[in-house]
Amino acid sequence: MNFWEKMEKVDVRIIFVVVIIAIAIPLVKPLGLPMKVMPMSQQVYDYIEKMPNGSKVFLSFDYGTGSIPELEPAAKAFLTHFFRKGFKVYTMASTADGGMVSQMCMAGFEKLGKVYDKDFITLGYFAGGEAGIAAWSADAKKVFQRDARGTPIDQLAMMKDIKTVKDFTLGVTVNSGPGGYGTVEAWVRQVPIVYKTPFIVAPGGAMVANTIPYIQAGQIQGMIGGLRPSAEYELLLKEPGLGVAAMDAQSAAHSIMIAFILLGNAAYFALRKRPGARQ
Amino acid sequence: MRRSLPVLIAIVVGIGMVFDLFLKLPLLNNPMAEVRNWMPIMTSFAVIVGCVGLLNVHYKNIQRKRPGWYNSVILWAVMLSVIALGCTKGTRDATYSFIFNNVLVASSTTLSAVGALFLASSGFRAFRATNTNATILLISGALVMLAQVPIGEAIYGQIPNIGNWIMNVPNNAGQRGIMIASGVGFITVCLRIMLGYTRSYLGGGE
Repeated sequence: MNFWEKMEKVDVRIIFVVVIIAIAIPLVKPLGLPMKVMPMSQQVYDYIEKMPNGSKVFLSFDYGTGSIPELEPAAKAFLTHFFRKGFKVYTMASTADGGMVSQMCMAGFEKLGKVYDKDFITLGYFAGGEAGIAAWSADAKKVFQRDARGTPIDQLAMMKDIKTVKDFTLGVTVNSGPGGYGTVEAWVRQVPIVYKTPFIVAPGGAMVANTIPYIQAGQIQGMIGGLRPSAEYELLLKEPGLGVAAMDAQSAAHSIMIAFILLGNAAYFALRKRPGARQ
Repeated sequence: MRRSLPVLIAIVVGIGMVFDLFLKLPLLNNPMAEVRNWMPIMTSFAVIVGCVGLLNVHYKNIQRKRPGWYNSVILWAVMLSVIALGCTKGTRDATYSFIFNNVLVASSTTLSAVGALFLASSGFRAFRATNTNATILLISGALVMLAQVPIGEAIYGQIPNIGNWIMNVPNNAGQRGIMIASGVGFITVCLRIMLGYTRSYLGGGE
């Protein structure tokens, strides 16, 4: 058995160990690779920066606990920017565990001095996916009759002037993708298209390809898609956080995957001519 | 009657929803808004039905001592205790938050991360340049992957721009075609349901 034959039959556990080591090294000893900010991240940052102070914005945590490492940097970067601009922030979630994720995330900002029902409110989870978004957009108080803390919605000062989604200056979904809940497509169909409320999306990396047409068609104002744009956003805020910290590990993960693909192809071409080889 | 009444309801609500978007008529808008509000309520009940169904399946596993039945016991114990805790003390309770952060978040993020290992393994075994199309896919995939990380820039400064071009031009063209085609297909399916031609949602065939 020559080298390439050994390579083709390599034990899957060896691949797993190599990937784990490759990802672990930069987490222990960061490489600190420089990163430039791409135009899309700059566009989103500039759009929010130009919004008037005190604007009302809503952010929907449309992801579950499994997507926290990829999407929480985007959610936190947006919220940091919103609070820096003095926006009134309304959070909600279309996934069942997203309700808890939003509460966990906002608890961090509460510890930093943000005041409930003055700077932000957490409305919690709404069921129904796209139909739920449509219902909430048309009548915000009908879908959430109480907030996530159990307070009747009419008793919240921040909800006084909110009737429909038109009362918001901007909407944002941080979204992990398809799954029968409030997907990016559902939000785009129900909010910016119907009510003309400006909208920004932060999908997971796998959803970026599907979301680009909405930006070029002018239906949404921009996208922070995946971990790298979140890291870029943190750099724009001059507040490096989880996104920037994860970039070196992601560099290692992507490099090792490409190396494995190249190695697999080298083995394929080296063994292609042997009798009975897969063509 | 068992079939024609649901079809009639689907026709009336479907057509009503379409016109609700275009017409400002309180006589139409108000009932349609009410119907929209039913959906989150119905979905909430579906969650209860799902929980009861799951508990039922695992109850049968325990009752018949099927292989791995002890996992079903753990599911019963954990599910009922978390539901009881959430219902009695609320989701802001320290114990509930502890379980959420240290069991659900930890286990689900670990499971998501395991995907990277399988991606590397499957990429090594299956992502082969067997023909021209596969080669184009492989090269463009590798470039987009490198564009997403700083090491891409470190290798060659133009890689992020090349990755962006692949996403914004060829990908966008393909995605638009798929979206428009599926949109037209979706309209066709909706029209068939609203006109009563497609009845498979009632159960059984056409």
